[in-house]
Amino acid sequence: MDIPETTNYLIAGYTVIFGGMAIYLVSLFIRFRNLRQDERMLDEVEKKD
Amino acid sequence: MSESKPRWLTILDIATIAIFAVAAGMVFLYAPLEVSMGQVQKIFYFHTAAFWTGMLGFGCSMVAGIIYLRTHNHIWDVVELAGIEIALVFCLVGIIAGSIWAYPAWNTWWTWDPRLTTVTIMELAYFAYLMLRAGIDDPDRRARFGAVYSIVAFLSVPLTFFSIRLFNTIHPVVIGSSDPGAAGTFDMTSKMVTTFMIALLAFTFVFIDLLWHRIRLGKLADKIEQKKLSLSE
Repeated sequence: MDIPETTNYLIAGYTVIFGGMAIYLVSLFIRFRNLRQDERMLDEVEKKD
Repeated sequence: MSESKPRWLTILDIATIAIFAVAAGMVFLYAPLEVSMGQVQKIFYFHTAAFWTGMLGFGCSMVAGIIYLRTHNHIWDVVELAGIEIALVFCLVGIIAGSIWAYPAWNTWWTWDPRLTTVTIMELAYFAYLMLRAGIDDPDRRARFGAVYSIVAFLSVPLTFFSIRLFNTIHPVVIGSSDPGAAGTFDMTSKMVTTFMIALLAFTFVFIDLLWHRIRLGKLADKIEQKKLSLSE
């Protein structure tokens, strides 16, 4: 029995899986960094007040 | 200032990366090649594990919703949102990867089969949660709404899980017997079962790790929201 050549679909599938996870991780990192910046800014405003 | 990263979270990060690497290695190097589908069958390991993560996330949000309604402790609202966000990402990844597997196996990217229909309903129901939630300004009302919604929306999860066992479907069943009309079924060898179990374990670690990170992010966002409110008063 000939095994079908489906390697391209495997690569596409795992690109989606790893890519999706990586994008989510980056989004978590960016949101965390932005919130930290906001926190620092609010702390400064509080000190001035 | 925000609290520093706990040592246990760093240990969990390292353990998660290690077990994820083992699972990925087993999929590509250890699991045998399935003869009727070829290499594309290997999508199955992470496709199913991604949905497992989704189910964990939706289940976690439902439990958090119940606890919030009983205690009114805001941390459970943070946990609920974290669970749903992670689950949505993983279910979306699972749907797209499944569609890529379906083309060589079913000769179509998509069909409105009971499993694919119920999973779409589930995904849209939880997307609606995020959109509706974002439209509520009052934190208490938002948390109450989120808790009730997460409990009701969870009905779509068992419906999705059992759809391939209850209805005639083209989608194969991994554990249990498939419908005779299912396409893309295969008998799992012991090596395939081992790889599948390790993949499920790895994605369980990924879920717990991401949940912890997402809860920390949610707590920080809440803290900033409170500070902004107190400064504006």
